[in-house]
Amino acid sequence: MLVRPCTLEDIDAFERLAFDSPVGMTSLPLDRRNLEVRLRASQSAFAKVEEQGCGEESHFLFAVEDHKGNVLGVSGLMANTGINAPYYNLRRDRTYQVSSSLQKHVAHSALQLCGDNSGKTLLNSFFVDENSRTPELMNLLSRARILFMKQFEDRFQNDVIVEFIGITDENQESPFWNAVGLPFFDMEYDQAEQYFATLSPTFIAELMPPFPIYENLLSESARQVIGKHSMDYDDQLQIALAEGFQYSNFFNFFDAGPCLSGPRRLLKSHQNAGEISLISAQADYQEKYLVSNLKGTDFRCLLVDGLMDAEGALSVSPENLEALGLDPGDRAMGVVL
Amino acid sequence: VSNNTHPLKGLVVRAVQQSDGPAIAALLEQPKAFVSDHWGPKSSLEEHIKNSVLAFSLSEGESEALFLFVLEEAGEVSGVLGLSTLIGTTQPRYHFRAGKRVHQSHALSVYRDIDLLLLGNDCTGSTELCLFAVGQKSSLAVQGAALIEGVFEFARLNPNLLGQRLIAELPGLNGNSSKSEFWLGLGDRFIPQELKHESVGVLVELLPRTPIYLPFLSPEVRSVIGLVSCEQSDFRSFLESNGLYFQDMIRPEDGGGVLEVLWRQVIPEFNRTRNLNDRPETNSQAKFRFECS
Repeated sequence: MLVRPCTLEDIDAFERLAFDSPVGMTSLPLDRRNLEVRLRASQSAFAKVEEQGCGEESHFLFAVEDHKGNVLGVSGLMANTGINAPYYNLRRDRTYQVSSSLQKHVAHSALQLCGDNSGKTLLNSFFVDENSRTPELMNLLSRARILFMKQFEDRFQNDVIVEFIGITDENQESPFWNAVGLPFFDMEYDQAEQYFATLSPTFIAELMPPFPIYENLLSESARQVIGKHSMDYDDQLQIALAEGFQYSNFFNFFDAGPCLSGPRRLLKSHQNAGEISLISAQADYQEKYLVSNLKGTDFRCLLVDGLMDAEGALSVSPENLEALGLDPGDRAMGVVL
Repeated sequence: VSNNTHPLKGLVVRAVQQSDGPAIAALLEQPKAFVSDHWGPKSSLEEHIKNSVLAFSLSEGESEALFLFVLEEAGEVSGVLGLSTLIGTTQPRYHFRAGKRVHQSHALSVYRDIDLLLLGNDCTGSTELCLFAVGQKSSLAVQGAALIEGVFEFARLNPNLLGQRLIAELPGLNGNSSKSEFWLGLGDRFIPQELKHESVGVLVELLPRTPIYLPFLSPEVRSVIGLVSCEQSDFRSFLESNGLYFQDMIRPEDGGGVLEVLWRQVIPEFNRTRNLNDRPETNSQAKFRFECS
């Protein structure tokens, strides 16, 4: 298994994954031309990562492939949200109303459309073939992005967020959308997601309610799914929690799926990763490591069996060294799985 | 109709006197008597009359005051009308104001107009018609009209007492009770269990102050907004025939409509010269008396 930057040649695999992914995965729209644009933008982001400072949107797309080169999944990393298009969330606010006659106060909980998460780094576009979702692959594909960020630290923001698809019912309808979105957008959930994936998201600002949406007024079925994630994404969510991401007051505005956030430097993979030198040696390997080279366009990240010596050099197999595009003695980024 | 046979001839509208108590109490027993929620308990009638007599004699108009007018017909009291002035200036008065926002997206060819309710204190400083009743043998068209005519004359003489606007809060369907669809579907949602026994009028203070989107409310709630309970439908028509109209204000307790009119819309020469902070120049109106002709 190997993680590498997506290229334009991945378009067929990319389209297949987009077809299989849920409608709420708006960074993987069912639109080949749109996917091509995304692949080109990603290629350009990788090509420029070594010289470019922080500030552009830079949406990196990573592919994970098996030893035959079949693409099994994709993940994304956006250096800065809100650059090319506004980045919207719902934020849960609590306000007090006080009655001076009763000498009592009550708290009202309301959702407010906001751009608070604009200018943060975003993990997104995560989708893996249903039959390939092993814990090892999911970890590799998810955490490779954090090794990549560590390597090009000054390209990324201190705050990292990751959104998870919310709950839909057996008819692919979102109870939250039906309560909140439908009256304002006059269209079904999947239609709205499709528009969002392919059009400029300014229509959100045009149609979404600008005032607080009081949760007390919403139907029980809508309230129950606020901040709840689709079970299809439970593995990924558990990885994020183990990584140190935490639930926040932010939710997706279509399906109210949760938005987790974490300070980049406190994420486990970031904290535990370090630069190591690699030795090509058959050895009595002790542990599994995530190892990545230090390159941009030729970025590779592998899950390897390795043995760390006292000087901090990691012995890996010659095949793995070759897959990383490295020679013995080269530096790499490594972290225990 | 010649002056000699005018139906209002001989009717007198005058300031209340302490001795009117029993007659007014009897009028308020009429099934269609209108008593505002803000009038207070029945037992306080004597107190109200006392305050009103005082208000007529002081005529200072600097704080909330109650002016009670009675209709006299051949020496008998056959109608009563109450005006509360400067409402909401000591205790806030809450109303929803109905508004609209249009949301449009050219890209998606979507055009939605969304109704809103915004809780505010828009009636602050207005005068409220808080009490109205005519006797069993009287009619709104005759005795009611006489009362209104007399009160409008009072307003013409005393613009500085009465604010810019006259309002009347009419009870909604299943008014002001825990049975009101409007309250149950909106206000009640914001009230924690342990406070639900408190009176609805007080609980209004705990409602949110940013706009409420009507699409979030059930069709049952939306359908009763601005409706008036059946018992007061004649009274509503009567007020409307005298120039008051429902614009956009709604009682938060039950969705009942607030009828309103600017004094100057019904009294052309009504000329309010004083700002709230100015000293009043009004003379005592203790002897206010208006003979219909």
